[in-house]
Amino acid sequence: MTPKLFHIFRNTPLGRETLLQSLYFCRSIGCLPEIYIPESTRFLMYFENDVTQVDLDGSYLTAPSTSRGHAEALVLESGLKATYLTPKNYTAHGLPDIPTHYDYMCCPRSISDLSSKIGLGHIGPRVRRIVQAARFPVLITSPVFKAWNSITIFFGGSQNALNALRLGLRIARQSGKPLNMFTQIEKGDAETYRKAVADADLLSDWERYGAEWQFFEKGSLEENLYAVAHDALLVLGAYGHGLIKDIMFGSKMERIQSTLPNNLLIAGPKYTAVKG
Amino acid sequence: MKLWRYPANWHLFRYDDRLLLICMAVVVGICAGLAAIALNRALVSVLGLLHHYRHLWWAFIMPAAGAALSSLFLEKIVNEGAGHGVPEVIYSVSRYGGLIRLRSSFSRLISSCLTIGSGGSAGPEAPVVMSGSAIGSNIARLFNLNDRQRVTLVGCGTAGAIGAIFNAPIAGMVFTMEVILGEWSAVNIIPIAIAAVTGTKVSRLLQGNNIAFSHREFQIALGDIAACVGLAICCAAVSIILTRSLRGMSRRVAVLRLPLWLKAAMGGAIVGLIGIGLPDVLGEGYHTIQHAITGDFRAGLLVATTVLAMKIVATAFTLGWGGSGGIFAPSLFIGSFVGLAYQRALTHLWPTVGWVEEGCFALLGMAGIISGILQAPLTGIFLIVEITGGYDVIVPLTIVAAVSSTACQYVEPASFYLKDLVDKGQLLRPGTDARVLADIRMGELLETDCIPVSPGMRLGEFIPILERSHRNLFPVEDGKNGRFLGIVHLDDVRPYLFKTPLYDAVVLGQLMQTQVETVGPDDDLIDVLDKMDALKKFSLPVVANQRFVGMISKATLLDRYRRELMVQTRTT
Amino acid sequence: MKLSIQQVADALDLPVETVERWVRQGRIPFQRQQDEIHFRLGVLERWAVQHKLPFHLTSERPDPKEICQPGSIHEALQRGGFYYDIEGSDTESVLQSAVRRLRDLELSTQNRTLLLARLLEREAMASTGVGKGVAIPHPRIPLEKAVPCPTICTFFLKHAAPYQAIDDKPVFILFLLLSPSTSAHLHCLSRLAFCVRDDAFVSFLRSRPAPETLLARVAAFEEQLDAPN
Repeated sequence: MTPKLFHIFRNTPLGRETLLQSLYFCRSIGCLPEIYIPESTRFLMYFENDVTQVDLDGSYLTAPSTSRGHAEALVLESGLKATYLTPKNYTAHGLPDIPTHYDYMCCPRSISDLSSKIGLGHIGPRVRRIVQAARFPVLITSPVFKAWNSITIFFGGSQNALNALRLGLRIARQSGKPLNMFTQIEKGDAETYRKAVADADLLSDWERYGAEWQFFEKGSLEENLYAVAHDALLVLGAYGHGLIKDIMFGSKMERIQSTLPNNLLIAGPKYTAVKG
Repeated sequence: MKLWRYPANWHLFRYDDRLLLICMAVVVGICAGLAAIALNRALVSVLGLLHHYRHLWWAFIMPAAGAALSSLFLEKIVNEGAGHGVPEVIYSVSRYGGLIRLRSSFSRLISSCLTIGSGGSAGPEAPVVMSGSAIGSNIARLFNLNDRQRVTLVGCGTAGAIGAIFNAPIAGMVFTMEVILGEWSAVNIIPIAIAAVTGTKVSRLLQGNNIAFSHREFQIALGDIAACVGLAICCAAVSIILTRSLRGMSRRVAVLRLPLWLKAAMGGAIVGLIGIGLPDVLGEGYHTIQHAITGDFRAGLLVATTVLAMKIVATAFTLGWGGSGGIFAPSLFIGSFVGLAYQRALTHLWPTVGWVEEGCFALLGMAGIISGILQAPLTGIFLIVEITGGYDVIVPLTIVAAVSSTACQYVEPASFYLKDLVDKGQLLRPGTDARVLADIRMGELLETDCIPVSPGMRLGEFIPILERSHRNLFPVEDGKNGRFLGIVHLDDVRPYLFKTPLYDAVVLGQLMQTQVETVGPDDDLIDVLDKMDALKKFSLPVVANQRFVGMISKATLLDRYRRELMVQTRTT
Repeated sequence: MKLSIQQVADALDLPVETVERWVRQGRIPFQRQQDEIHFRLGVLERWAVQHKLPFHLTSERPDPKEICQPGSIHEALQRGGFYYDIEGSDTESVLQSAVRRLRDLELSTQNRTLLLARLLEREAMASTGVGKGVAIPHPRIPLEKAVPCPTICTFFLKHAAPYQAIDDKPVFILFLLLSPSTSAHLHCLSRLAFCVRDDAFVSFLRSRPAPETLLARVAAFEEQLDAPN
């Protein structure tokens, strides 16, 4: 079955950029966008062992009379076919349940804080919660639409990085775009990381689709991130540690996303890589 | 992996989760009990604080301000909808294995405290139920328990909360089983009973073992028992009036285009105005109930009836206009006054008969209204028995509860809590047809062994495919873009099957049915079945994004349905 | 014994999605190790009995009929062997000398007699001469434990003999078909019939080809049959 990407449409110029990004992603890997035009600022997503209430900021409800038309025009331009989601179930009045069986979901960096407040350095708490609980990877877009022409995987050797690698390989296979890998060496040497990939039985796939694997031993992560192509889609895994740890030490996801303005595809801890 | 978050993996609990559930039930019971006590204490102090201002002329502002604040709190700060929350708990139990947001565990406590404390006519029980169940659900989530265990813990939270707030463990247990879970199973009963007892114990430790409405023993004669039937009918009628006025009010207010907090404030102001004339209707009204039971409510029949009517109006204005709280306490209040008024009317009509005191009828009336509104007779009986501390009225109590809930069921087939869910078809009680169908996903039923053919295929080429296939349906797909065009049924081909000269002359495009009803892979099974029944089909093609995905058939469905039912119902 | 989710789904004859959902809903006993889920055989069997669900591990039920797939007939031909210059002037005498010549099959004298009786019984019902000089004699009911896999023995007659075939032509070749089950029998019969329908093949048979060339020809036919569409 064709994979589906879930997109919440915001009827503002920023929302237009986000939708353009989603549509570009869909066209690149051949998936089908499912667009939700919110009717209230809140909705619930029931995941396997979690329920998340997403509180959208008020700009999502801008000019409800034109939003469907705007979305359709953008979809038509992209030449894709899109489906539009009408919620079937409501937990309470004005509180629809949004299904969670999608293959991807697109979020701007924040969906609950006012969009004017966000520059680069912050992923909103709701987006973070979705990443933590979802079985699908989340596409976090850059503020302005930018086509990506290559894929860069951040590989840190953990179980989740392997999931990100699987995801990156899949995107590379489906989009036919060049694939690179970025590793900031923290322990051992390049061989340790190669072995981790080989142990997961992914080395042959990497050799088939991957182009370049950059290792950085010196310098801080932020310095080295300049080496990442400006038009690359970043694929990374998010590790599911607690909020306190994030605030105290800052997660690597946070450091990467606050440095690089690129589009990110984040595989959360619950993401299960689909074989094939 | 942090081991402490996966207690189901500990060696102690590995083979049987009953012990695990019992341990968790104690924790949930304590937390739910504490939540109930917190609300109770907060209410007492807010009421005490505002008591001095009650006699002032502007006192009617207070319920307005309280309701507006509670509405603002729910809408702006915690961003939850209004309402008392019990239908939400039942909904999440039936559809999502009891997943409830963390914020629900405190939001209703604060908002209902504002509403009731300031004088709004509502009860603190439903908010406490919501809190207790949200606590149970989130504890289950923290420990990564599965849906079944989570539902049990949600029940534990409810039972603990009701047990604590009424000092009535059995009522907590029965309410959970009868209203929230809708299922009596051995696996659930034990943890829920333990949680109810734990919650009650917490409340007794902190507040002392008080019987809410203590009274003298009543001497009930045979004539009184006969009179109960009449009381039950009255209770049923009042229950229906209360239900209808609450729902009608909400519907009418929903149409108004005003900010939510303003609506709540307007409702509150009206309640406040009523409260100037009849202060008894304000708040949860337990003091007045106590007076009715002990016979200290001196005013006559007419006043009693007015209080009764005004309480209904006040409750409708508080809850219907956006205040936060439940209908449990108002129901008890109204019930006690129905009983009171009934007894006085009886004494007027037959002054020579020695009727039992009005307190007894007040008790019976409470049971009658609770069982009528909730359509849960056992909850009514046990609640009244426990909060009044005696079994001496059990015989008339049972009669009133049974008759009242039956009579209500005739007029309103679904109870107050369930009406919305039933209307939307969302009430999925365990082991029922709707539940089984809601659980099975379309993806689990797809039959993918159909061989697709193209419209340009000659009959001769089709024959070997027919030989290989196990099925008599063949989806026709466009050769170029894979689009689903129609279906070739064996019956369509049969007339030409043995006419060899036609093998090269006929193509499948000529034989296929193009007007085919299809279903999508995300459709609800219940709709798919309805469609099959309406079309008198035994199978339908599933099409997603104009591509054929598989077939869905009643034969497979029945097989899976039966197994699902066996797995769902025979869990021991 | 530990089972994976796939094994459990197979044993219950349900899709994996259903078992995954049961795991999520807590309807099936399982254990979690790291992020892997596994099941214990004993616990699961007890659970299945409790709920009256059918539960059969696939490796637990080696079906004797499944061991030998009714695959290609050129393998069956190879198994059966080739016999030339069979004597005989009518159905009975031809079959008698054919059965007597069977050497590769481990048939006891008693079984041989039984086989012959069965073959004659079948011929008495209706001739197995399918036309064009070909006959496919076979027992009506599969012989108990006679052969583990479908076997076809090929007999070229010394002289074409009358056989009451449907087209009344004398028969010059016999394919003796022995199978362990009726389904295997029908499978081989339909494939053999497919070959024999071809006139070129029949005239090729008349040339009494050597076993290797015959097998190659049949294998080619079967490739054609197995090819999709």
